[in-house]
Amino acid sequence: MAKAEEQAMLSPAERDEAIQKAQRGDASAFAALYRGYVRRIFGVCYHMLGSPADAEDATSEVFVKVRAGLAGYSLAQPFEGWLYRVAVNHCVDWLRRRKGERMVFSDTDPAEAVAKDESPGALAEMVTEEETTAVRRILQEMPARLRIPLVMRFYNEMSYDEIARTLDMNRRTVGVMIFRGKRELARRLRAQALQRRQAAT
Amino acid sequence: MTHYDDLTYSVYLDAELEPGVAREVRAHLAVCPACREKLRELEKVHLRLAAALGEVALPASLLAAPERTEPVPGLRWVSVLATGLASAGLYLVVSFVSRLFSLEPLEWLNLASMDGFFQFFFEPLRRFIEEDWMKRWIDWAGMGALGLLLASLFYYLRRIRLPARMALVSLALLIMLGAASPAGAVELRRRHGSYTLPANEVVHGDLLIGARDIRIDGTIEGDLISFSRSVTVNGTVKGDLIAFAREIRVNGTVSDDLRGFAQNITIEGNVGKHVTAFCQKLEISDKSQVGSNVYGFAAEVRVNGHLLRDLVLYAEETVLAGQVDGSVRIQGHRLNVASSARIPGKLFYRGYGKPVVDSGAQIGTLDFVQIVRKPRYTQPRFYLKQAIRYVGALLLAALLIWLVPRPLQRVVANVGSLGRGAGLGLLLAVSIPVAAVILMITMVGLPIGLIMGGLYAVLLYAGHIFAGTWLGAKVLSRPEGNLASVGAAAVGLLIYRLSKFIPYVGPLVTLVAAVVGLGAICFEIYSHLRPRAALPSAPAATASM
Repeated sequence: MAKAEEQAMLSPAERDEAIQKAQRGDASAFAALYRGYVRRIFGVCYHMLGSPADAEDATSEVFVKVRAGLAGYSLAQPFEGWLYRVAVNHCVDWLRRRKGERMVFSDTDPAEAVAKDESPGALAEMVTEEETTAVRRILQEMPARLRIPLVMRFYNEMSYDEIARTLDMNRRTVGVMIFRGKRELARRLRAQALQRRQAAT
Repeated sequence: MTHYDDLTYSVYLDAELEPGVAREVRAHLAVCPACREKLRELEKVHLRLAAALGEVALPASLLAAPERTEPVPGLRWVSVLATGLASAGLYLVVSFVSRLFSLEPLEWLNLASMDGFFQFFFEPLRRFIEEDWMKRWIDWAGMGALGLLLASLFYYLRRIRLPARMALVSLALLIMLGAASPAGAVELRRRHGSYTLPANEVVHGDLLIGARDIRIDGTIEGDLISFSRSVTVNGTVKGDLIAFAREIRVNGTVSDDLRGFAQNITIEGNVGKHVTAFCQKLEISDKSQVGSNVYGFAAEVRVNGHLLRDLVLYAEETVLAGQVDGSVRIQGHRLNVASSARIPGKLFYRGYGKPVVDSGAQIGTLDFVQIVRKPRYTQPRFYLKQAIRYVGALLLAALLIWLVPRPLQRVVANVGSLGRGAGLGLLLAVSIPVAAVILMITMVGLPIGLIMGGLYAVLLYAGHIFAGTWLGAKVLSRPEGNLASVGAAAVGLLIYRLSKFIPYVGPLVTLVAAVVGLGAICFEIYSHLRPRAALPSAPAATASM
């Protein structure tokens, strides 16, 4: 599968060409864009929404929006930034809509469902799978306003400036939000560790 | 030694500190073991985050070709637009059919006339209140249209932020409360045919009536609000009389204000306070008395009675034969001051024809300003006026381009994608004036109604600027930079202004520009009200980033 992905990645020139063609309504060019970015967008949606099923639906919807909005996109702005903005805004809308109908129960643990598919890498050697699952669960329990900047920073690897632009707030606030997110995560991880130790004794 | 705070270290690890500050932090870390330890802890969190927020396995369904994203473009907008148009259409059909059954089928065609206006907006409302089972299906259809309208409004409501939604809902409640019961004790009566309040009967509180013909012989202690063909007060209304009718007649007493929207308003009795009349013909007969000011917007006005305060009129033809204790201001075509007139104060008249003052009439001072009427195309002033308007609009456009270039760009872009907001614009263009008028007839809502009306005028005016700028940008094909945008506005607004000289096309262009522009503005406002990443503002951060 890794090979197929390699093929799906687009060089900047290919990407711009595909965008221009897609803007003129070329379906195969849009398909190339889709293949090039579906993984990233799904990742954004997954980390934002915390459920693979929701993320799957949201990803499709994001691409519907992208297709409709592509005409309004100009090559002058970075495509990834624009794309992430569409995805992030869509997920924020989604979370807000869902806020009213808070999940009462869920049959599968969303964090676990996807974590298993993770391919082991250098990071995985230092951070155990268990820990990763725990962190994902904590992230999902965190308020969206703290989670979203973290996802944009650590998953999308966006700079503070890009995040600030996307979320329509200033750079300083982005820094503070990310800091608070990290602090909250550290606090909860410590609390969990303490609980486990107490349970053991 | 001064340590840096946690926030600074967080930003440092994100490699987002300013280079100078980062160097200082590095220097501090080299000499401070405590901070190094702190940083190591933070790094662990980073590592975990990076691992947790890593790539995830893509579901097979998404790996497949992107056919799933084959859009039904703007389905929501289409549906909202369709709903709006369907409601408007249904309303028109209902109005049309209901008018076919009424006696004057042609009157509604003349929307510009006061009566036509009255018919167009209030006839269906009257029909709903009036219990007329032969035409009840019309009511149901009308209610259906109203429901659709509300549903499409609700569609927007559903998608905007909670505080904004709450504000809108409370405003709506306020409107309903204001419209239904300013005093809290409203009696609603609906009658098929005529309604009579007998002479010995007293209504404690307000009365809201819909009936074909209304006659009040008894006493109403609150306000009387009526929708009817005719309303006659022989008895006493101790509050206000607010009436929508073909014929309003006061033979008895209205202790507070009289506000009438009608074809004919006749006052034979007494009105304690103000009279505000929108009508074809206003007659204040010689036995009558009005305690405060009279404001009239009418084709024909006859004042024979005694007015204790001022008289302000916009009337085509005015005959003054009674007594006015305050001052008189009239704008109109013809004025006749009869010999029986007693006006000790000032009479100011601005009109086309010279006032005719019969001998014997007593007037304190008479000021007359003649309006000279020539075809407007022959007057240089007309062109000057057009030029001033053009320059004014252009200046405003330039100011907007300078002050708020990006929102302006977005609004102009909205004009381009016609579907966007055009439905909303149409909806608002129709509903705002109706809401404003309904508000204005209630005491509570009067200021809100006035503000609403003012805002509406401003939005319509701004609408043409955006539409014009869009047109100019289209003509110049994508101008770049602020100066070019101003140029585009200049070209577009000039085309718009010139199109106004073309008969028939001009008003249509004006209408379309206003509606589309209004829609574009409202769509922009609406998209700001929509939920976005609404993150609370952070407290003052100590780190320099």
